[in-house]
Amino acid sequence: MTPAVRSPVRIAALECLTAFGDAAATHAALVRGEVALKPVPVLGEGGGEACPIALTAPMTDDFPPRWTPELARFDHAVRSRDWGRPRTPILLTSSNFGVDGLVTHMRKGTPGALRRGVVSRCAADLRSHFGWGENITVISHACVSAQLGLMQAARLLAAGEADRALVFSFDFASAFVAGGFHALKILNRNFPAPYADREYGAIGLGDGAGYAVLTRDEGDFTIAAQHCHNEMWHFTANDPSGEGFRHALAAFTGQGMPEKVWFKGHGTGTLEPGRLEAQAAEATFPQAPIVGWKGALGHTLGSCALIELAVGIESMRRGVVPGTVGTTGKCFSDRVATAPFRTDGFDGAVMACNAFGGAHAAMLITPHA
Amino acid sequence: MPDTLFIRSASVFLPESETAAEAALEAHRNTLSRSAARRMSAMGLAFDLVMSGESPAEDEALTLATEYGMTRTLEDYLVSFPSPSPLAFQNSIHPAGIEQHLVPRRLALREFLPLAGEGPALMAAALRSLFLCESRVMRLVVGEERGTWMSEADCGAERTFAFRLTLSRDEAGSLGSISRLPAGSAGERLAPFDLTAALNDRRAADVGCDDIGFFRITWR
Repeated sequence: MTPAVRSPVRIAALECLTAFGDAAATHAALVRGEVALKPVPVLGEGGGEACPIALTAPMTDDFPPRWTPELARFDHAVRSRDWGRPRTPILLTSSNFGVDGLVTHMRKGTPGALRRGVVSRCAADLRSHFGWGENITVISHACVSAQLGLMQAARLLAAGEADRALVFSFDFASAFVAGGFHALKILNRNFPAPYADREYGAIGLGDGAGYAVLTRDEGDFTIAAQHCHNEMWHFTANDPSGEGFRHALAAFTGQGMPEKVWFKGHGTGTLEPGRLEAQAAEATFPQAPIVGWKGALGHTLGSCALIELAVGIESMRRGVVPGTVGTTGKCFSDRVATAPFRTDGFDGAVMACNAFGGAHAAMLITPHA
Repeated sequence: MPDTLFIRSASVFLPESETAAEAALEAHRNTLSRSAARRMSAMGLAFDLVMSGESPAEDEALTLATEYGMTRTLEDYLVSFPSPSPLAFQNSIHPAGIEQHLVPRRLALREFLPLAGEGPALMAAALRSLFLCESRVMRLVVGEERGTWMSEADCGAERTFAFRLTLSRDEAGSLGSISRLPAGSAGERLAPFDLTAALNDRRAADVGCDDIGFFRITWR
C-alpha cells in the first residue's frame, strides 16, 4: 500500500460559492435537502436537451464572462499584491478555466473572449485582476484539480518554501463543458442520485468557486494527510475490479490515522464509479457514513474538492453533516447516508474526488487539537 | 527537499520546422495500431515519441507542463458544435495529451501533476514541483501542439515540440543536474519552447522567474 502524504497543514481561511451561495448557505440548504440543479438547455444559448445544471447566473455567451463578478466576491480575501510572492505561493486550479470563452468567440466573435478561453491567458488575466505576483502554480487535472492544489500547497509549507499558501479554484458550467458531457451521455435529462442502485446513471453539473489559505500554525482544522493515485486504466472509466478506489482509500488507514471518520465521496451519480467507490469506502471505513453532495450542487468539476471541503468544515463547525441529497431507495452500500447526521463521536472526515484517467485524490480532515 | 536532482535521461522533439514536425508525427502515427492512432493528437504523438523507452513505475512522479494545452484538439471540438464530438471533448481536456501515452500502456502513477500557465513561471513551477515530490525518480514532460486559427490569433502554440527529462536523486551515471539556486539569484526567463531549445542543444542555463526562483541546469 502506498502511504498518504503526511504534511499536515492548517486551514486559516476558507470560503466557497455554489448555486446556493457561500459555505454557510450551501450547508444549510443541503441539510434541508434542497437541490440546486434545474433543467437547463445543455448548449446554453445554443439550446439542446434540458439537463440538470446548478447555476449562479444564466449560462450565457457574454463577455466578460458571467463568472467574472462571481470571482470578484472573493476580492476582499485574495486581491492583494502580497500573494504570489516568494513566500506566498498561489495554487490556481480549475478543470476548464475560461473555456466558455471559446464558444462565445465561435458564436459571437466577441473581442477578448478567445483569449480568456486559453488557460495560460486566463491565468494571466486573473493574475492581473487580483494583483498577484508570479509565484503561481496553475494546475489542471480535470476533477481532482483543487485537491492537487491543496497537496502542492501542503508540500510548499512543509518544505519551508512558504509562510502561507493560497489555493484558488473555480469551474463554471458552459456550453463547452455541458455539451461534452452530454455527448458522453452521462449528462442527460435525468437528475443524479449518487450511490443509488438504479438502472440508469446521470450526473448534474454545477458552478463552483472557492479559496483556502493554508498555513502551518493558524486555523481550527487540519488537512492531516493527502493521497493521490492515477489508474491510467481507461480514458474515462475505472478499473472494474475497484482496485483503484481501494488503493486510494487504504492510504488513510493504519497507524496514526483516526479510527472513526465519516466519508465524503466523489459521488457524481454515474453507476459504475458510484458502486466501486461505495464498496471501497465501506470496506476501508466500515463504521463510516458515506455521503456525496453532487446530487444537489451538481459536479463542480475541478473546484469540487475545495467546494466540498468548505461544506465539510462547515458541517464540523455546526455539528451536522448533510446527507446524500437527491438519493432515495436502495444504494450500493448500506452505509450511504441519505439524511443528515451528527458529527459527535467522529474524529474527522475523509474526503475524496476522482477524475478522468482514473485519477483519485483524497484528504483527511481533523479538528485541530 | 533536495538541492539537486540528477538528469538520468532526456529526449527532445524539436524538428527544424512545423512541416518537418508534422511529417515526423505522421510517420510515428503509422507505427501505431489503428485504434491507438485514431485517438492520438499531435501533442499525444509528440509525447509518445519523447516517452519512448520509458516505463514509469507507480511510485515515480510525472509533472506535465503545457502553456496552451490541446490547441488543435480544442479547435476540432469547437468545429463539432452543435453536435459536440465526445472523442474531441475527451481529448481536449487537460491533460489528455500525455494520457494518450499512459492509458494504452496502463501506466498507473501515484503522482501525476498536470500544469499549465504562463511561459517562464510555468517552467519554474514545473521544475519546483520535481523538488517537492517524494519519489525516487521523477519525470518532467513539456510540450505544445500548433493550432491553426487559434495560433494565428496568438492563442495557441506556434510550433509543435516536446521534451522529457527523467530525474533521480542518485548521481551515479547521470547526464547532468538541476539545482535550486539561492533566493535572490537571477537567470533566464525561458518559456517552454526556449527551454526545449536549450535542452536540445545541451546548453547549461539558469532558468526560472523571480517569484518562484531559478534553477541551474548543467550537463556533463
